[in-house]
Amino acid sequence: MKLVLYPTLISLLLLLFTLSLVYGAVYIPTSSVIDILLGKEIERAAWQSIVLQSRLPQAITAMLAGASLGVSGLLLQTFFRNPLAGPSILGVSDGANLGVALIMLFSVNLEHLNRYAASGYAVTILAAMSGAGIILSIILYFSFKVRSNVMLLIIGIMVGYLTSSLISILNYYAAADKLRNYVIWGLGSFSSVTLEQLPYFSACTLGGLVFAIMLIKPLNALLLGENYAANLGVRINLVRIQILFCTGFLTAATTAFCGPISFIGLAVPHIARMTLGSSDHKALLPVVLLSGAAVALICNLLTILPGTDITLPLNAVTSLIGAPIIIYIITNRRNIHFFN
Amino acid sequence: MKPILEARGLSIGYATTLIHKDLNLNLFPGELTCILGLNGAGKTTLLRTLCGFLPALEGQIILAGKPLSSYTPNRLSLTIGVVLTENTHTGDLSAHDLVALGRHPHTGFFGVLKKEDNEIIEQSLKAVGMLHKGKLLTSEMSDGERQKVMIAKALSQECPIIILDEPTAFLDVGSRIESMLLLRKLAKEQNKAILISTHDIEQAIQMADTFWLLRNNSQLICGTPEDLILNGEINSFFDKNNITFDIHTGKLSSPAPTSPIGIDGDPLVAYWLGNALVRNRFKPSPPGHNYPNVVCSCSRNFTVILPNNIHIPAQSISHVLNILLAQ
Repeated sequence: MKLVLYPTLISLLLLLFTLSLVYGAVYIPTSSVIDILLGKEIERAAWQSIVLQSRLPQAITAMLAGASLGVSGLLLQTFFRNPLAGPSILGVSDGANLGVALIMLFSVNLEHLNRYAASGYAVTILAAMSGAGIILSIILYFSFKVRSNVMLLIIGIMVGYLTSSLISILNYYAAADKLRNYVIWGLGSFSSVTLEQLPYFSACTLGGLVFAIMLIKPLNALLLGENYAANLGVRINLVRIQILFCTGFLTAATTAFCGPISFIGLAVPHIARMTLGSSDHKALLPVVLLSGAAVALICNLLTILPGTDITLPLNAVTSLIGAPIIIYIITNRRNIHFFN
Repeated sequence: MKPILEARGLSIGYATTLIHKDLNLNLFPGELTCILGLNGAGKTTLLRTLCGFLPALEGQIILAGKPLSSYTPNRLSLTIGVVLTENTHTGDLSAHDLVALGRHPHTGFFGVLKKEDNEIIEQSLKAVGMLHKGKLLTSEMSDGERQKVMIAKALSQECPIIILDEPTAFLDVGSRIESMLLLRKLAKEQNKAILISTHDIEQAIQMADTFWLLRNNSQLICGTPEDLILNGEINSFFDKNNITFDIHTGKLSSPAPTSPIGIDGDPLVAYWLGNALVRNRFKPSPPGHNYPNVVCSCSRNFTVILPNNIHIPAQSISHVLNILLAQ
């Protein structure tokens, strides 16, 4: 299974990546796209900038964000031993959301920020990171107080509600034009990372993904539960902090750059587990990484309705794909060995 | 023989509650040791303390000559392997993958298995009789198979001590006996110190080398099962619960039966008739004059002799019971 799965996934990913460069709201012939990528001069400068400045960074962003969300979903599902855990469930993405809301809705010199887009993003990212960081510290604090992971999960959900209510209060008092910007950010998009910002985004997400790969061994032990893992020599308290930090970091980075993207983090680990047929993280984590990237590319492609120039918000598409998958998972438990 | 694990003046419990104090115990290699205790007697707390999951409140645990507190998590994982009652989420793992988790203390940073690791995994699967089912997913196993694989996991950890918390609790009778025989075999053949907690006293009497009797507000009593039976320790162990341990049969029953019934005849039939009588609160006794007697000729032919010397023939144990209960 593994032998066939990896090449298939990688080819699928390459195909989707190519498709993302060729296909878009503006029609550009495939031959021209190839020419642009090969660095040849072409007649229309606009095409060149569309492919290099928009489609290329968008496709890379989608892959990195999808991989990050999928991996943090996997980490949380294993850690909480709960199939419905995901990055948004712990309130971490709500925390990032709150940080961004504060900046976008109430920063006095938003126009100033907009003018210097790069520094504006830096502030947004910082706000998202601190928001996620604060929520994460709260969760971490409770993780030492309550021993049960189910309780911790419930606390995470409650903290998420608290944060959402703060956000809705902010929304209520925000100026209309700022609110609009914020709402659009909240719909999620892989297009908001420019070519200049891409290195920063890549560094953040790749760093987080490498960190996740380093947690493979304790993650496997955690499948047996915390006491078994401890008996296998895993330092549980350290691993708790590492996992929460890693997922928090990945979620915050993705949310800051792309907005709060729903369902990918929850659904991708399940898709990966079902196709691989194993929860051994040595095999599963790479599959989650690849399929997360692929799912994000598919969602991104589907934001442009085929045959039309109508675009849909990203979160509408991820929910349209993600929600039925989750429902399928719940109603077809016999396909999910993870439950027992 | 030197104990592999010993405790001196050990107090166990949680930060706010002391459950037992001043426990002294020795665990020997090559022996199957059973902890017996009623619910709430602190069996699991004691096991968890010995495994290092819970700190000892007082006293010392000496593990292979060194205090338990001086062990690093990794050293400890090479010394004690556990099989617990907690839920696992390994449904998507095959038997082989699950046993491979036991190699964790031996493998490197990413847990990649070497040839030697795979050999030990196969040996462990073989030892529990699951080698042919190495590819079976955990979710497709029976409870008994899953328990065997968990034992194989502990084996592949290659620890001199294996501690199992109620390993037979959810198993059917056949798997119970199989698991206990397996544990006994492992203790003898691989010279491991195996410590289990169980509620199944009748089976424990058959299988265990040593008993640890754990009672509320009392010292831990250690000894060979038969010694503890004959000196009455086991009987007093169950005293408070309206249950008696019958020293003759090694069985537990409800309060001492009173009205005696004499039994004579075929030993096998007499044994099972006795069983039925105890259930109906009669006391099986040697034949006598002052109470009813039953002569068992064979399983289809009984004679009930009442004290007034009336003989009533019966064709089954059920029939005999009807006659006796009508008196």
